[in-house]
Amino acid sequence: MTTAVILAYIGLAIMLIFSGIGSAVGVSKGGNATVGALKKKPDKFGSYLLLSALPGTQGLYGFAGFFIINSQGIISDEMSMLQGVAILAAGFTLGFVGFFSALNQGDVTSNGIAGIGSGHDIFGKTMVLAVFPELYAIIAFAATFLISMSL
Amino acid sequence: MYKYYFLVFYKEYNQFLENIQKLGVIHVIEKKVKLTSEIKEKYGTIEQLEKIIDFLEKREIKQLEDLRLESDGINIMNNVFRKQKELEILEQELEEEKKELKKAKPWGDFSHEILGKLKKENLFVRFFIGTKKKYNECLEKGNIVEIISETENQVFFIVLLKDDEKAEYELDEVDPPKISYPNIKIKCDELEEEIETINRQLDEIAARDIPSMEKTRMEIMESLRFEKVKLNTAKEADEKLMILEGWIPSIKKQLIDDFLEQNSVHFYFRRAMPDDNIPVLLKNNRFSKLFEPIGNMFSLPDYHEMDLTVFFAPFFMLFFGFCLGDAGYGLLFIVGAGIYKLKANKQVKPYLSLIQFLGLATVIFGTVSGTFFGINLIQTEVDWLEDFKRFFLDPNKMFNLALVLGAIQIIFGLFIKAANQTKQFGFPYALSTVGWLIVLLGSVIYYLLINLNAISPNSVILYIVLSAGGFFILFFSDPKANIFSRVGSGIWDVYSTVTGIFGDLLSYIRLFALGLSSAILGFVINDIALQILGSSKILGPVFFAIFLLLGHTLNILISSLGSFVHPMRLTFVEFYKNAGFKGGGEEYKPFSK
Repeated sequence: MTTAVILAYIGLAIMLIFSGIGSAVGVSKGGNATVGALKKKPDKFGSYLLLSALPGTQGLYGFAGFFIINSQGIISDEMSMLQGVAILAAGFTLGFVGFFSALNQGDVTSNGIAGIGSGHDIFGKTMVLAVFPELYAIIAFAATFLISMSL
Repeated sequence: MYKYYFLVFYKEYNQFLENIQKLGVIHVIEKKVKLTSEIKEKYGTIEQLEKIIDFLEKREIKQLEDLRLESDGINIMNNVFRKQKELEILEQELEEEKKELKKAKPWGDFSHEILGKLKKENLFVRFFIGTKKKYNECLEKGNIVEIISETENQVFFIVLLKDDEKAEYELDEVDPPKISYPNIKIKCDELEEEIETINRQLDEIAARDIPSMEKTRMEIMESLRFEKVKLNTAKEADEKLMILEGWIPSIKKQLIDDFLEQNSVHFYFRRAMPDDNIPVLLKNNRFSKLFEPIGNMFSLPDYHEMDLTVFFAPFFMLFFGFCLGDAGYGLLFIVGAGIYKLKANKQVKPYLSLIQFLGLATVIFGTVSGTFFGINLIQTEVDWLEDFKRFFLDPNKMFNLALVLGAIQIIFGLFIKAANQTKQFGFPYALSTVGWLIVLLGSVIYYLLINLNAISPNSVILYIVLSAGGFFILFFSDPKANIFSRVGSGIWDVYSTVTGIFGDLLSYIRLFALGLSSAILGFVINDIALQILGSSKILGPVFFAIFLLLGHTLNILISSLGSFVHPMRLTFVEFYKNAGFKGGGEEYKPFSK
């Protein structure tokens, strides 16, 4: 077990843990808002569901990032320190950006859900606003992909 | 659009309104007037009717075939209201009784009359709840003790005491229930029966009377529209002359003119003026019409602006395909929506056609990137595919393609902005945008020609292009201002556009990343499914099929959501911004039945 392997796996763990936790908290925020909004307007459940699901994608980007690195098959005792550090950096990037982006996207969607519950017609607009914070998780995922290609 | 003024004598006004409501082409101009109490009441009634209809529909009762359309939905509504209130009271009562029932159950059947008779004889029955141990302590003290009932950890017992005896037990003494258990049980059963009767009656109403209530609701809505039009009517000449103002689209002008001539109505009309607040009726071809609901999520265009639906529709379709990027999923969309179309009603069909177009784009991009139900065709060893493999684009090329598509849409947006500015304010106002087009297109063409070895690098050509564009940008960003203000706003325009366009372009990376992530997830599903297949000879294939079905369904749902929303954002933010689209138009809603 070399230091490079340890760094690479720490990177993958950070990538999965933080993007996953971010998404779990993000979709829970939407779910909680939905429970409240259902009391006022139960017929809008479809809109609530779609908005609640939005922050779930960061966890998937984390997983997809882990998969493209893991499927390269470079994590072994022969790997270089450079490769180990690169994977650690990718993990930090995607993990943390995904974490905060999902968390705050959850705030946007839950406010939107509360607004729809109060009778405002803001589904489409909330959808568009909610994907603003997601862009940065997508950029982080694209960066992870580019890092994995250069290994 | 044309603005019409109708002048009608007050006695003929109602008839006139009925006629134009039947005609259904006039968008009545609403004035800032206070709603009358009558109108407010009607709004309230509609809301109540909707609530009651909703309440009845939730009972999910099969509708009767032979419907008797009772004319008075209001009566039915009030009847349901009364029943709801009764139900509420009875349910509350039942809840209270059930609490009492729970308390009385351990003490069984006893009579307050007997307790009274014992009291007269100076004998008191005391009720206690305690553990078995405490109960035994009572027994040891030589009291007359009787167990009434017991649970696993509690004993309900009574102690018979004379007046002068004190019961000093460390026990919970309780008051005897006011009514004995059997009597409360009878009361509860009665209440439940009453509740059931009311529920049965409500079910009957739900099966029979919803259409009558719907009919009444529609009638009130119609009369409400009528009242509102009256409210927006100006009254002149001692309220004898009614003046109504409204908008008519050009395509319906002949219709209204014929009607006015037949009915000898006095009127005056004029073309729409730039300062008017004019309603918008979109005119789109069959393809772009499908995308109108997407555009409406942002805003309708202002009357003086161009409608961008037809311009963003092909891009939106391509972007959706790029993000989902799986030919198999695309085929599912086309086939699934096609089958559903056979039995769908007229209102749903356009949405299904939209899904088919999006599916077609997904097939195109799935083919380009070589992805079919998560199978990576680039890496798959199939003989007949070998000839096609050189046409597939690997992820690196897809990355570049996303940026190229973004650049095309942004430049296209600038062309529209120039056309829009020319249409709205005149050509001088579009010169600054033309300058940007010269700079951007000129630079792109210059570098393309160098890359294709058509010309040798020559910075003079590039500088000429930049100077020509720069001149328009610096001196025509605000044609109305003086020369110094023009240069100032031109410099600001350069700064904001350069940083803006760079950010906008990078925003299109999402197309590539979303396409990649949905392809990877599809690939992972197949990978895990194959491992399941090899795990067992008998159960393997069964779970393999189940996992594939579930996994791909989930991936389609999640990826489609992202693939729909992200192109929407690219349209509303990046494209609309560069096309100078502001929106804010009011929808053309004719006064009709």
